[in-house]
Amino acid sequence: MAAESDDDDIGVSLRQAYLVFHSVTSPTWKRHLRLVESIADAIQIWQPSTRVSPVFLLRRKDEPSPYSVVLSGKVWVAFLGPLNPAVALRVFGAQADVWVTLGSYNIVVVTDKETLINEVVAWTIDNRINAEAWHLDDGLLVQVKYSGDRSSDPAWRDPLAAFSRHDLSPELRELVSEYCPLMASAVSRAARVTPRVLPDLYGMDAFLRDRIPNLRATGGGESYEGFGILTTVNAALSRFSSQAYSGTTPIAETECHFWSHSLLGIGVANLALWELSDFLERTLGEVRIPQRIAGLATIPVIGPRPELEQLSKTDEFWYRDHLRHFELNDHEQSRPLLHPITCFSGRDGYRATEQSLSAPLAVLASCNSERWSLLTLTHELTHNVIRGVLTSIYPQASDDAFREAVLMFGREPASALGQVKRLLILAAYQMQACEQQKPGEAMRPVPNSLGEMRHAMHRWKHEIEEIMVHVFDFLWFYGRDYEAYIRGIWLSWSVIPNIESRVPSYVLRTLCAISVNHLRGRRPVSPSHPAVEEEYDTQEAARAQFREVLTDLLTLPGGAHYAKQALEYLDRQWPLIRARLVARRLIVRIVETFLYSDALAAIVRGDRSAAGGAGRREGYTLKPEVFTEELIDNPLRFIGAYTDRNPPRPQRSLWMIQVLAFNIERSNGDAR
Amino acid sequence: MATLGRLAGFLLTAGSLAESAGRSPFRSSRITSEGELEDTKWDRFTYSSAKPLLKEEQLPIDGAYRYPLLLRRSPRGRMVLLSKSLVIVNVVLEAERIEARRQPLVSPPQEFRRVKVAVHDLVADLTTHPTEYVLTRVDANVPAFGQALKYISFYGDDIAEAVLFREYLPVMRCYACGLRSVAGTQEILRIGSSGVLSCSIPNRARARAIEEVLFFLAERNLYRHS
Repeated sequence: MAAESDDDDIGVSLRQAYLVFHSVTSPTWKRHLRLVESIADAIQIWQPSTRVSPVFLLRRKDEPSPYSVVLSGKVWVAFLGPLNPAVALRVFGAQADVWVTLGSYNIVVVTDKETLINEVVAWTIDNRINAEAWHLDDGLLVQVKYSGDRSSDPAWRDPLAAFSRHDLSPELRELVSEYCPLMASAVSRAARVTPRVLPDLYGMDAFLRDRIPNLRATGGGESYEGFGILTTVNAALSRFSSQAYSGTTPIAETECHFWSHSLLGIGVANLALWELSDFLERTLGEVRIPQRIAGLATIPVIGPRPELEQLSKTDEFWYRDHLRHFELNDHEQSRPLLHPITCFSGRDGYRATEQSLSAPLAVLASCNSERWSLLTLTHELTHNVIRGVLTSIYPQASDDAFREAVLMFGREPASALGQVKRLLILAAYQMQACEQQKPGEAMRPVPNSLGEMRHAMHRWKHEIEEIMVHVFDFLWFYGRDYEAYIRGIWLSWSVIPNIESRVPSYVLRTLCAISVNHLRGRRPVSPSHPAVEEEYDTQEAARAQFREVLTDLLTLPGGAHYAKQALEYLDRQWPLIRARLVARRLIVRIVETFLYSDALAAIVRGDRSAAGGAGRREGYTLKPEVFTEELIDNPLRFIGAYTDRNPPRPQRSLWMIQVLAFNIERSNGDAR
Repeated sequence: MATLGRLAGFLLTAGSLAESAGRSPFRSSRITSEGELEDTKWDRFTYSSAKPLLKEEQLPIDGAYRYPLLLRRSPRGRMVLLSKSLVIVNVVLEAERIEARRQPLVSPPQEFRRVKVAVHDLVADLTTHPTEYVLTRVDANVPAFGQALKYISFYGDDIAEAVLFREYLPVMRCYACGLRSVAGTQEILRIGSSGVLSCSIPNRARARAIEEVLFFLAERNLYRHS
């Protein structure tokens, strides 16, 4: 019935409905499946055992409502996946109804012909796709057929069992007791349903088995680091396993605790998130920025003079591509990267740690809308990069480190790392001095006491990390596009309640990010005389750009929560904001000069399959809500091109999630 | 050889065409075989359309608008399908897709599918290791600079010779290029990462030159199948 690329021609649309499953034990055990139009309809027939999941029916626009009739009489319903809906439509679409879901079994094929269902099951066996077919008689489940029973390589069992027996402190032992069965469950289910994530699960397991016992061996507070890591991994694994593998065989017995998807889970959405994370690992992760920066310790001083802060803002040194030429040794280059466990969380929302990556549940139905854009993940993942960098260049919390930092200002830096460290410490000191400076009082040029240094380093660490994250995100993922960046972050903040008190910080961080475009402080006098440059007020220029976008946000339907407050604050407190912005210039410069490369960013932002064209789809030819087998390289670019100002739309979000799960091309040309 | 002017089309695959060698790969009854293109390995077909596809104003005598198709098949299942416009090729592929889906499952549909080309890798390769071909045109995304600078196009007899091009290649992602033989004077074809190809075939030698470029790409593993 449906086709993949001609919705306009034959009028096919995705229509949302809900599958409702009951398991009734009294007076006899019976299981029913029904299709209803809304959650409200499901509530009307809800029973203790009821589970529900949205499905998206591909219907011709002129067809009558299917809800009351589609599962009546004797029909077969085959659940199968994960499978690109475009493939399902190509193979089954001419002879059966094909529905799409967010579960790992993301395809539902409905027919009244048993011969056809046998062919469907045979096809899934041939193509190593999992399937479960239900024969229904007026909704009553009377027979079930299965296919797909892959088992995992047993090599993971022995090390995991050994880890469970490891001699650990009682508090860690409790967490390891939870972790081991969780990982066993995730690995064994992944082997059957989503083998593509197995290497990453094995990688996480190897990381923990190595790290946790070693932490304990170091004793003291280090074991609490292990406690934190295990707590994070257990929470993420638990969510991942429940969300990705509920609703897989045996469907009737695997309930998802995300209640609006309790029948089939949200496995395909997990896969989409995993693909995004995988892409970032393959591109930005492989640049290994923290390791390149740490490697600066072995490089002699760089630049025309050791004290880089004394270079003019127009000095060519600041604008060279340093990062690309900071080399990694073979060990660092080949060390496996840790792939975080991906999951959705209503409570954590967008959050990244070294071991986990979560996105808010709301994106399942809303990620087509700028307010819920999945691009927000880049900000969270950037925190991991910047934390890694700060480990090398920010004095760690000890008096020895702070004393060393004070001494740095009495002598020339001995290495490139020392030069960058010196810049960062100076930046923290300038931020501190900016807050303490009285009117008319001159600021001391460098910190000169241990107490002063300790205070500044403690106070500004978090703020410095945030500013670096914002500048990094702006450069690497938004390509210096201030309009897209300001819209993106302020709309993503607009859906978080009760953060009015954070608006001043957000204003300053936004200004810091976009001020990276103004670091040279010179621009052509006029377009007709590009070679003749003049100085301009860079803070005012950043402010004007920020005001322009905030003002535009106010015109959006529904407005942008906090934009008005931000504008008022910007205007009312500009002299103070300006002084703070100046005090943070060095941080902005550190990110642009040492943590960014145009050439490496081309890998993160480019797409070899997208042709040119100045349209808003960035050269992509995919049609929204039309499933296709066409592959794309870059999920971030795809999200940027297809996320828009429109309100959230479940059908569009479903389509974007399926594209992210199935249409991302690997470097070797594999399709998913 | 009667010239057809500038041609455009796609690199395609359609399952195992080796099995159907010698037979028409098309299912639509609107496509008829016209034999080989004079002493070449290219097959000629005609597509008959009830509607004008190129905005023709004149009505044909028998009511059918006829468009030439040129097809070159490789033993490995790849092919090039060309016509006077990409519009015609798209219509032909759509007609074939509908035919292929009439019998899914029982006979798995062998739809024509686009073959993508790793154009950026090709350009980078020709820039660093110039061999048989040189670049006459390069179109590239410039992803690092947001809206400020999005696309660049280069034209010339040997673009990779220019220092400026080599210097800026790291910040570009090339999606289309034109190729000329080192020994030749004219561009042989233009090819895009999505498998779009354009060229003209004025004589047997050019037909052969196009085949050699396509073989060159295959040898370097630059085809990517969806």
